[in-house]
Amino acid sequence: MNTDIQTILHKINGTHVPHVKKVAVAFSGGLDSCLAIELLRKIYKAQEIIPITIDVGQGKQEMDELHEKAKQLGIAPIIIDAKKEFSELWLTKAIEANSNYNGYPVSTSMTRQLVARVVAVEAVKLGCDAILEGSTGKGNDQYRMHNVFKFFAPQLEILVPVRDFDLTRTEEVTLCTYWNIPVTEQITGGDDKTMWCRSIASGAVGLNQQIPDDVWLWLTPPQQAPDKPTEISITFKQGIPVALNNQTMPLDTLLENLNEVAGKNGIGLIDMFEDGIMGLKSREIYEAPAATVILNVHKDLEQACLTKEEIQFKKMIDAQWAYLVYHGLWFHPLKEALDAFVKTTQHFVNGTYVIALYKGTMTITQRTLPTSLFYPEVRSITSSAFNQQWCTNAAKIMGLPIELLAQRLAKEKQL
Amino acid sequence: MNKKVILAYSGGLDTSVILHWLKNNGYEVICFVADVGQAEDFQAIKDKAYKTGASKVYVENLQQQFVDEYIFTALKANAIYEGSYLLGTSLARPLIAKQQVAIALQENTNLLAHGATGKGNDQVRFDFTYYSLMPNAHVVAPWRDPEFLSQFQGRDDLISYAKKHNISIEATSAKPYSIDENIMHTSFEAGTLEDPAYAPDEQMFKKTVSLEKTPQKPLKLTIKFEHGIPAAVTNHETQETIAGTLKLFSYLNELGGQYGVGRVDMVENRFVGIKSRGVYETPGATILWKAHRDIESLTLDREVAHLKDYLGLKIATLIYNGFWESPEMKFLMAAINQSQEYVTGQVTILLHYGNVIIIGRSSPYSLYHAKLSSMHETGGYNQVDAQGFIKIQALRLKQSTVQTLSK
Repeated sequence: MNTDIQTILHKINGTHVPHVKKVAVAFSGGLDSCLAIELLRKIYKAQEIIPITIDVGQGKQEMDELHEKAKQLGIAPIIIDAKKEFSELWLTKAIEANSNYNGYPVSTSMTRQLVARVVAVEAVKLGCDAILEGSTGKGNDQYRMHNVFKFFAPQLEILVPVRDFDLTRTEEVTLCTYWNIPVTEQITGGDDKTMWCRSIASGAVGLNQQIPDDVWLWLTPPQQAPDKPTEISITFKQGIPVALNNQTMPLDTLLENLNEVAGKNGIGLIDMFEDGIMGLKSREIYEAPAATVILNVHKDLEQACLTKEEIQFKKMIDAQWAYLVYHGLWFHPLKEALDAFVKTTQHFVNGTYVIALYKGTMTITQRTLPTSLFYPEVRSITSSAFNQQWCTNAAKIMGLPIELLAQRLAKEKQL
Repeated sequence: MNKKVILAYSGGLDTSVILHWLKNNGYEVICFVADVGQAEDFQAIKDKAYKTGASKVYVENLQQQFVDEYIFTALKANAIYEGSYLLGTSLARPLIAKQQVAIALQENTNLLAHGATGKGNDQVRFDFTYYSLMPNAHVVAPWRDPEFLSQFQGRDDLISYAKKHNISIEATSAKPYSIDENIMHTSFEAGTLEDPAYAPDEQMFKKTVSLEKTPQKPLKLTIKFEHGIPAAVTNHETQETIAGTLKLFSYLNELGGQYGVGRVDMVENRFVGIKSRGVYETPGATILWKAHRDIESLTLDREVAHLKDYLGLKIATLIYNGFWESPEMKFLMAAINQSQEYVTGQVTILLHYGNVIIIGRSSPYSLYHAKLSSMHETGGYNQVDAQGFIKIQALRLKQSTVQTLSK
């Protein structure tokens, strides 16, 4: 492992970097973006640095730390609040599309693109000639941000220091120590929080590495969760959750409350293998209590309210939606076309669910469905809504292709 | 010891310069010339390779394998890219690359070179096949090498290099477009064709005549399929029957060409994200694709047929993008092969003014029963049954309307 500071300095000084003047930085306060500020000053020799921070609901603690680090670095980031946009214009679409990529509710995939759009638009407005972001050269975010930068600011140079200088995490930490850059990273590989889902140590988790109990933000591990179930109710209107326990509230508030109550009851731990953009598998740990509850209920609700044909077809559309968003194509015309399809299917997706949360499980105990297609008076074997003799004819017609296949098999034996 | 590299060599200007350049850069170059049915003098290519500096030259006739294992695989899937392209070049590249890997193994090296440019699809098709079949392969692609690129910025640089090093260029007189030919098709792109509004020159075509020159009288042919594979072609005019896959394929190419069948002029989406204008002539395959789809219409179950249409689109994209040797291709082809069990029978067609007109078909495994669909006969299908069928099918439609009204 290369930790010798002279070797690292030699490597970065020997790397060709583009000539840039005014650089907008997607500044998160994490290790990469703090280091990037110094690299911009010392190596890229930028004349003007404009750090921009987008608040997508990463929480007060993280924002406080960010301000502290900005002070130490001698910068004053422009703070843009995108929480409402994220919940109202992005997460609503995710919920409607049952947002699921390999079991991941798709979260950082969205916020990175939201951040990239806002930073790109600002950068153009402020007359920058380059944008910098702090992704690693091995992960997915670099592709997502690149696409969005190129879509909204095609003329700007894109700087990604870790990639540009081929730095390892260890080399970055050595550089930070050497340059006196504040580092508060507790979890190697970072910690990405949004109101929808938190990603822990992405890309750095070993095959059988145990996850310590104290890393969780919302989650109480199931075995330590309360011994009595907690009952909650959640109301959906046209596919979107609008009320918790019969109290109407905006989606971001609802998520905040639901993360807390579902997390306390051990819900929302996701430990999975993910097929990254480059086709490489990684083990990922996510914490997503509210998303887990909402996506489960939304699916059940669709099963009750959509037609058989819509359900069959929408599965493909949902999978494609998640694939596009995960692959950094939020602004792609196909994704927008899929949004439009998904939206039209949600008209009748209304209902209120009562759910018991208990030690990591959720059980639906009651459904109120004003516009479902569940008509027990037609389907029930105790009702007489239609003449069952029709089925004799229907079965005969529907089974005709099967009769022909049998005929052909019989004929084949004689051939 | 020199590094030993296997170069996919065509005898053209590009690969000849590459051969010489590689040798100058310290490689021992072994040339592999694949005969996939292009009209070339292979002895002359072989001599030229030795003269230009090859240490060894392999010339292999892959035509039979190309037809049986590549073209007819795509045929079973009805694979067509973006509605028009029958994948003639896309199919040949993985075969050439596969054979190249076999030679590399024999020659005990893992260095593989090709002359595909850094902007096209072919580089991907070569490279993916190399890496799939030889995970430790090392690809030498001069057209992606900064040093090579700075030395050769255009065709003129190649020509002056060739002249300087005594590489014969008489066979490569400047063409206004780039051509790839094999037994399945001829493709034309680049040069004057880069303007998508520019009409192709008539004298460009090699396998097909223009519609004005086709016979006035239609030609009637019957094509026999066995399990999805063409087994024989009967020419009703001459009464001759051609069997054998390679022979019948060449025969259909010739007849199709005479009747102007299979010209395509399209703008397609390349894997690397660039749109490109391509002109193709694919006479024999165009006839077979049409006939195969028709015999399937008689012998495939409805559900299988509909699903197969989806899979065919996916398979075409995989082939186009160079994923011939991939797990997903194996997975999909297992389903396609299964579907061909009963695709046996014959289709009668007319070739006329560039058209392939289907006029009849039959199969011992037909799922078509005249008694069932006929308006004149009764039996097998009781029209009274339709009443119940419709009522049951309509239950959900009624419920959907009730749902709408309940809002």
